[in-house]
Amino acid sequence: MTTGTDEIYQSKADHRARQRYRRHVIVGQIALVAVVIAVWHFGSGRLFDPFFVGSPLGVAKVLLGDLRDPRFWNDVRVTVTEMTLGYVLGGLGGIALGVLLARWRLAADILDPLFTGLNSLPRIALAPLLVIWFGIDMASKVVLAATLVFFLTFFTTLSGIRNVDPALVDVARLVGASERQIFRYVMLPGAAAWIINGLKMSLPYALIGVIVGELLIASSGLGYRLNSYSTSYNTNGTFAMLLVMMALMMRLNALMGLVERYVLRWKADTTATIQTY
Amino acid sequence: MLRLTNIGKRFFARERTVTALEGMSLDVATGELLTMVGPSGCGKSTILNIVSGLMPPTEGTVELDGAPIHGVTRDIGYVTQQPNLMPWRSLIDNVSFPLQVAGAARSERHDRAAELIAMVGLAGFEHAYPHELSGGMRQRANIIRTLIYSPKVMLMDEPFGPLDAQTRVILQDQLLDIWSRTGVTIIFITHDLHEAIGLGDRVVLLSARPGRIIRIDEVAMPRPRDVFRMHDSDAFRALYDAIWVELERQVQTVDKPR
Repeated sequence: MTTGTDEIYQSKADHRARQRYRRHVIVGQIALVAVVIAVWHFGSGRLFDPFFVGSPLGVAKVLLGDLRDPRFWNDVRVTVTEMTLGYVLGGLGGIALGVLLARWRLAADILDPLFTGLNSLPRIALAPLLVIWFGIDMASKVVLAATLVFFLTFFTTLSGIRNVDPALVDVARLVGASERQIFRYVMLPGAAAWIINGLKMSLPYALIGVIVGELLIASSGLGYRLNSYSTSYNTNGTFAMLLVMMALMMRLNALMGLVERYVLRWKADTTATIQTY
Repeated sequence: MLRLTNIGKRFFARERTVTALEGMSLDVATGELLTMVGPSGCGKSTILNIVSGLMPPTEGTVELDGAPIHGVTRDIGYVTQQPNLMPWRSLIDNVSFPLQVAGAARSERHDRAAELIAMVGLAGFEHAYPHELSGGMRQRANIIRTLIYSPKVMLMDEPFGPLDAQTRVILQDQLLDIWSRTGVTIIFITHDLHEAIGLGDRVVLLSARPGRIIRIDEVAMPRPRDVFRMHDSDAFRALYDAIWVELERQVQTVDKPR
């Protein structure tokens, strides 16, 4: 018997070949990073103007300095807090409304043009309005992140529940399940893959919303710090912040991957999900 | 006794009315295994959808032991052609689902499900997910998921249709075993005349659309039957030939261009 994550090998030799292949991939990846850093290091000042590209050592210096600076950690804390709040609020709101409208067809059809319209709006453009409404502190960033996350999770939840196999609903009905039981035992687990996918796709958008908000106007946060480095033409500092954001996002994605693997452990293959940025 | 009285079913499209069933009356005795054969499109599935209560008839009534059937009831179980297992539930949780709906405790429903799983030879696969099971294993799970809540009547819609020939005969054998042990009333639909005669106490032959009963034959073969060998007997062949003449005519009606 196999489980979803097991790999099947034709033979010992096949197994060894695949291990060797994986080793080659990792070696290649390390080499690529080394080459990029080397070109950057030796090229900076010779091939490229350090004013535009900085240098690896310069970036490392800023990073090491920032990592010892309590104000940097405060900025990380602010950004992560805004992002988490926005993600949770937007995600829960999207799931809740998706569930509600999936069960209430009339309301869904009436509201459909509204949602299509709002979804067509580049929501980043709401940022200035949100600053007027919610001020320059954390609230406006939380709301901006939440609107981005909300629509993705709302649409995926709605589609997920609508796409549950009607034959499975009939099975539940035949054995005497109530509407509530059908929802709990069939609709919700049936839509789980869609909902998780929506949550996964919207995770980067939570960070985008927060950073855009902070770039526009803020007094703390990673976006604010990025902005103050770039407006003072500190290229190394700007690169350093981009690296920090990248690292943050990669950690969060990995965490989300674990949640997905757990929730969808019944699936044959859980790795084949859409990645959009 | 399950009694169908003058059942008719019409479907309405914009400018067209399709009559799927017409004037169908039939009594199925308690504990009987009744099989139905007919050409494709004869409304076989429609009959089961109506008897199960999933679909209201346009006219006529269905009664079980004198009480009319309106809507689904746990007295009537329905084994569909597709296994329709929930992919996110393990085998044992799929099989015990009807007991969970009824509010049974986890240990109780798992004990009961484990018994049935062992009975159909799936012991060891309790915690496998549907995608890890073969087609025959899934269909067995589908059948015992219906058996577990002991309905009085079990409707079966070509349950072995998608399976390979060997698995099919094995499952037919298991079904006869289950039926003789539980005494459940079964209406079994198939398009395979061998299967219909081999399993049934009586075989109902349906016409091409609109579905009507053309003839009902008693299968005068003793039980317990050997599904692996009975096709050789003279009684089997005589009945097969008699029904086939009529079935062939119906199949040709379907294929004829209008």
